[in-house]
Amino acid sequence: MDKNIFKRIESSREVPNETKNQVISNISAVEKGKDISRLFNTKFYGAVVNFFKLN
Amino acid sequence: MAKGSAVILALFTNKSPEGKDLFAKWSDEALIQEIVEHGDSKLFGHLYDRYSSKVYNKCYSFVKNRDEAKDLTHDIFLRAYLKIHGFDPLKAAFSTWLYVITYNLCANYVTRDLKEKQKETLLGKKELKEKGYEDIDIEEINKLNPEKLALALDRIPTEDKALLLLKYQDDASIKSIQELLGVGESAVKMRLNRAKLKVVKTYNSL
Repeated sequence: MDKNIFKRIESSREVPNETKNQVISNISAVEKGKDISRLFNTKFYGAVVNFFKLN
Repeated sequence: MAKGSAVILALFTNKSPEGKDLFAKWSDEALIQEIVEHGDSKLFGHLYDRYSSKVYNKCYSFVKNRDEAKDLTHDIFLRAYLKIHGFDPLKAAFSTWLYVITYNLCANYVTRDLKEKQKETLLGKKELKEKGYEDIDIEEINKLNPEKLALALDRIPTEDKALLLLKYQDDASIKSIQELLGVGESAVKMRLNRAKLKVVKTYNSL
């Protein structure tokens, strides 16, 4: 038995399986959002500027 | 299988020709470096696999509810991913860094409604000032009854519980705690002593 009482009170419940999928899919969504904003900030930057100038 | 095709297989599947996970033996820091430098977010799944159980159980110890612990675990890993560029391996281990995020989020979650109510209810501020610097030996705490100590931990302010777990359950060093909390060594030691004092006082009152 561990002498350290704080380690003895640590619980060991199973993490629900769906949590990992949710985390990974939200990370993918974040990455896609970043890609889109990068695209408009670099490649289409001029087009965005012109769009707002015209309007 | 030729060496070249083995490398290509590994690149596409993250697995060696024997079917073993290629990244299983990578250190946390190496995985993070790969995620940050090459934007390979899929590797974050490996870090999730390593620490999700610990994080989930820590969350459960604060909220005592499976659904809430699950939601907090999700939020903690998402936040960790978003902040991963700021992780500095020279300041603390990844696990300590992740547990600090865990405790911060849990403490904010638990105290969102009872911030004022819970403040110093178990030990008055005056008493703290008088006894704040009294040193409590961890060996004395180790002799206590575990179930009763768990109850006492639930009754002290969440920040104190978090600090005690970070130091004594997660083996975080004083140095890494001071780096991550942005306070001096004496402040960390003082806060730890106060937390120990509160938990012992609460334990004795149960």
